[in-house]
Amino acid sequence: MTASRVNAPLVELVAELRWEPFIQGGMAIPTPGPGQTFMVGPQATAPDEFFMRFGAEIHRSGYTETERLVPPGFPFMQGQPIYRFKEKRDGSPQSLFQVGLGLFSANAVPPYETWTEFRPVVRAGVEAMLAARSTEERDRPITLVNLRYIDAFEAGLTEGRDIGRFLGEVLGISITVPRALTQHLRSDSIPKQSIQLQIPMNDGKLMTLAVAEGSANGRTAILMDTIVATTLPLPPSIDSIMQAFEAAHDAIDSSFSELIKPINHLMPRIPKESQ
Amino acid sequence: MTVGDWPLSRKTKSLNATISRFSISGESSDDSSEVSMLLPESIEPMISRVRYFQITTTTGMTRIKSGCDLFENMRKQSEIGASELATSWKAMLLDPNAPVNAKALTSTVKPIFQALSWFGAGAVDLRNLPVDSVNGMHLAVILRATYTRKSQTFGWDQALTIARQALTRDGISAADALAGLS
Repeated sequence: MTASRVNAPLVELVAELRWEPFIQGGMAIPTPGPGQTFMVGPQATAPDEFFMRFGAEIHRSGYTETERLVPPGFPFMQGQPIYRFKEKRDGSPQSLFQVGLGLFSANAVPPYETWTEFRPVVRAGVEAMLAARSTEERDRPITLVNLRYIDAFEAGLTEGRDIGRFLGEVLGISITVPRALTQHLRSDSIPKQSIQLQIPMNDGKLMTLAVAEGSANGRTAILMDTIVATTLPLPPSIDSIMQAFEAAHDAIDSSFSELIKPINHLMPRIPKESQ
Repeated sequence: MTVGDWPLSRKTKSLNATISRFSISGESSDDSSEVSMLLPESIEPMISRVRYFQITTTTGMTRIKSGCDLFENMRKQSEIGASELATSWKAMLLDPNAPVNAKALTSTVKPIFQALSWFGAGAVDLRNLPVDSVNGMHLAVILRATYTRKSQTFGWDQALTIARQALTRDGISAADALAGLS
């Protein structure tokens, strides 16, 4: 969000890009589902070169810890993270990048400050990714720009509300369950609701909002997963991509601020001067 | 999951839902509903030209179903919509003899604005325009309409060069027609 908050419920912020990768070597086996290509056989060389180039680029920005998520030679999926690059400050990770075949993501983890602070991180990662792509795929469009906020409202923020009351009283989404269903309800229980909304937006974007009971960091919470994604390809330039992320952030930020108004007092904004 | 394709008024806030065999799908009808849902005002204004608005409500479930299929449907609808509008704005763009009066230029720029508004800059692709077939004036108005989003418009810089060539070929001052675009 634009300004950080006390007790902010954010669990993770993910800025993700996808594109059609150039595949060389190995064997690509298409699988059911969009963009699902299974890579097997001798390790393709092109992706590893991309990962190494990306790692070298991002190393200069302080992302010195590298983790390979799929062992060398193992099959992997298009769009699956293969490498993770972490930056650590004071011994704990602040943000990380993940790359895979046709995939890039920048992830912010708590204590997330604000989008203003995270934006340069995303920008540095995208620039490194664009520079690291092979000449064969350098001009290929970005097929997906995706910004995702995962929030966990724990007991302190729900003020003891169950998910039905939280949806209705806080988020303003009321679901009335009819007698046809409640007649089967055990007397000591309540209907467990979860929702998913898909909101086609101006500009060809799609907002997806999902709210359900779950757990975060081992504690029960009401999870809210908000995604804004582009639906048409974009040119592979830093300005084009960052504009799309900005627009996605603005949409999520304005929605979130309005949605949580009833519990705003539980997570007040931190005054600018003390940030 | 069921994906509806129905008109939904921007003013419709209350969506009634009926339970089908596999899913609960929303629709704007006055029939007595079994499940109803009221959307918050912070979300409602963001809905644009709704061709389908999918709502999933689950009772007694703890997991949310993936929206992957619906997202792919939305992508396909965007591609189809952008393609249909491209047919409109390319009609006179690719006709060197097309009229260049206000009415004709409007017929080119109107679908461009629709494409930008509904589907974003990704819906306007100016790559690989054949210079011999391009109408310089129509391309000039397209470049002007997309100027603020040129970084997100495929082939914008390339199209500027094409416009100069086409205007010069037709004896029109490229400096005047493209003023402020370089």
